[in-house]
Amino acid sequence: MGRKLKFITRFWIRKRDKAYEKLVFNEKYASVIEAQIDAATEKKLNKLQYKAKKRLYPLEIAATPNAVKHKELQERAMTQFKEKQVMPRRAIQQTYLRKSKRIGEQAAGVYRDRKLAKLDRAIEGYQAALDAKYPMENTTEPTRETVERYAKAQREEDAALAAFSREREIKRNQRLTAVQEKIEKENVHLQRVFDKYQSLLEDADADEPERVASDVILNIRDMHMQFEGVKAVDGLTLDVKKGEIFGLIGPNGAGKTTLFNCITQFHRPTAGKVYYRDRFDNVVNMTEYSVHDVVKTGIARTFQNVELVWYLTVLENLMVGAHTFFASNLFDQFVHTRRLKDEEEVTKAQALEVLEQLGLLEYKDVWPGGLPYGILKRIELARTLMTRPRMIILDEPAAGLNDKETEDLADIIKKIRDEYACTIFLVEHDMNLVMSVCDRVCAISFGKRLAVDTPEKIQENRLVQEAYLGEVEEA
Amino acid sequence: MKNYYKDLRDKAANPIIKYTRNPLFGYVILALVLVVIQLLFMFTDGIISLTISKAIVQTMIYTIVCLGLSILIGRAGLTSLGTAGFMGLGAYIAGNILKFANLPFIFVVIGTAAAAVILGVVVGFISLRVQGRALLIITLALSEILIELFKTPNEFTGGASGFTGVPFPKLMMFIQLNRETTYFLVLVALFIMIVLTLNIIKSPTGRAMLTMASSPPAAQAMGINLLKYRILAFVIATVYAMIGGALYVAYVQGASPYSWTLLLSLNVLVAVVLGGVGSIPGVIMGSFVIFGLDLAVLKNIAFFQKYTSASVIFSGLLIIIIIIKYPGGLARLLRDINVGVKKLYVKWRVYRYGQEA
Repeated sequence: MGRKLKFITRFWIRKRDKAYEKLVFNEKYASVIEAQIDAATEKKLNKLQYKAKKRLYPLEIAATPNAVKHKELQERAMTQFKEKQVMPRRAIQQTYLRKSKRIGEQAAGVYRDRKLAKLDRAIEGYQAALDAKYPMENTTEPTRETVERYAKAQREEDAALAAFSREREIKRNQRLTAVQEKIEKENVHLQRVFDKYQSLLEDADADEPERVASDVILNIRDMHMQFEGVKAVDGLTLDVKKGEIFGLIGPNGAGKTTLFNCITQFHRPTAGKVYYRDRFDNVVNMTEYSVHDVVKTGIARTFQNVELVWYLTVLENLMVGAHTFFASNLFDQFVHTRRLKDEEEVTKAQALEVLEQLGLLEYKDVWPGGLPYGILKRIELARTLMTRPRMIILDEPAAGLNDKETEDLADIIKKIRDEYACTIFLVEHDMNLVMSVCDRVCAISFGKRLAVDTPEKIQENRLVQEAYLGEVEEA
Repeated sequence: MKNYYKDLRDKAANPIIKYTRNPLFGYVILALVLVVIQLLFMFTDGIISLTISKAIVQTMIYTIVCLGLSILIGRAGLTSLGTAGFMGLGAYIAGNILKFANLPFIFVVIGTAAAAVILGVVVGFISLRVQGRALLIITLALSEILIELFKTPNEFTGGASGFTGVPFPKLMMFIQLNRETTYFLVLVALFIMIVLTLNIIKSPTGRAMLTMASSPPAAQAMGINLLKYRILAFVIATVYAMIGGALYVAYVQGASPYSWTLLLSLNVLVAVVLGGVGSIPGVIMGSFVIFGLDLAVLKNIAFFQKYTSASVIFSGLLIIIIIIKYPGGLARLLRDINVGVKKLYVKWRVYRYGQEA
């Protein structure tokens, strides 16, 4: 691609990304629809069962022998009556405690006994009434007719319920196959669109692969960043390989965060290039993108201070991460059409999946304010995963965490790398974390590269030791 | 015997719980109360006076305007003092459509909204890179320009003497509304606006605006175009204000340039802040305190009828007390009442029945 993104390439990229986003949406759509249908069926079935039981009940009463029936009815009524007395009994006990402080235990005891005796008498009275209503002696057996009628009615209701289930099953399958067919058809079309624009874009940057090796995901070339006389990054060159955890270390003010900001275009580098192999293996120059388009190429980042939205729940915070995947227009959003609802459902399902992966499911409906710092960091990490990243840039992920939390974080970082097939690029002061997770480490000082090597060798490197401990040696 | 199958029933399917948990439940009740009030005004003699009916309509119209500003302030974190100018422009556009074309009201709304979108984009672009106080000044200046244009003599605004002779709107081509039935039109419009606001808040756009307000870098990192959502917030606020203006002109049957002053913008701003930014019940309560309280309640009390300026002093003191007591707005009060009642209930239970086992 040329120095500036041409209008036409922009158009291709937009078309391709739209197709990709829709493809991502379709991945989960069928399962979400399935869950919706199942929930509706279950609700309907419960309602029908309830109604059937209601219809059968008089028949059942008529068909049971009086001895059994009356016993059951008596027991049921008595349990209900006793349940009603639970709260009054507790109230009496409480009043007794209060009164015993005021008028002495004995007088209060008299009061309590009187009240409790009244309740006991009520139970006895009720039992007598029940005995009269549902006598246990001289009971008659039900006629054969009523028994048969009950059995028949039961069979009918069961058959009706079974028929309903069958019908629903058929309808469900029909609906699902229809949805799946639609999705497949749509996917074929989308894939075609995607391939078309992808190949156009590949042709457009045919000369790029020569410049960037195929296993390199991020290639920073001779980058300079100058803030009014301060050289924050000074001629830095770096390669990050696909699928590795790459650490960036350096003393305070070495320009680490500035470098990150330059990659994600929060700052425009004064000079130099940032080549990046995007989601679709096209080599793009990041300096041609605006800040909010960077995420579409598959770079997601976190911040030194936790930057969550405190007025949204954790789940909604994650859904912000999937912002670029929403295709609903403003009308959909104002009226909450089917399309938006589907998209929200799909996003919610994805968010729940991510939350489960990171062990955050219990926090899904709480506001993040007040949660422990380690959890907040993890939520931010989860939000980056919602953007479908190819490379995650972590700015001091272990800052402010205790040792236990740092260990957990190391596990999570490795897990993310393995399960989401991401490259991870992190800045860190916590050497334990860097040494335990990173495959390669780059040390920089005053914006200049000191060394790139494995963690062990970096520790032994003379230049790095000097940069960190130079003054100590002199003293 | 009857209780036998009651416990089979799913508790969540209980219709009372189902409906009361619906977010619209409170608004439906409020709307029903307002309908009853107007019906009492129309069909009984003297229980509800015309003043109260007018005051309610006024409060409802300003509530719509406040809702727009509430999205702008509470969701997008931007401010505006241009509300009066935009509302006035909406009133004149709608008034001219009604007066000269006498189209059904839905077309009036569409025409006004279309103009509002254009104006909103312009305002958004003008105030692109400024924040806070600078933004207030820019929107204020824009509003003042508009108001000055209204005052210059021309046939569309009637100059300084005002704009009169607007007929009551027609519904669907043939239903001619009058003063009593326009009340219901405003009520329906308010209800629709509340539903739309609830929807937009609970959608990607609402979340994106909130992210933009609370953490711009995070928003950009998540792919949210700050410029786009900033302009969108202005467009929404402007559309709400201009639709409010259209309803105003339809009910009042005219407009004077002296209704659209800085005081109105400030009142709307105060209503939003008083109610609690970003909260719809708060906005309703805030605009009632600012716009409705005086006309609907205080004018009917003998003391305030005798000393007219006492009502202004009373309102002022009330606002000061609310702001001191509840800096987060009346929405906070509502929540506090809710929490307080629940706490009181728990306390009573412990007193009466002892600790739960």
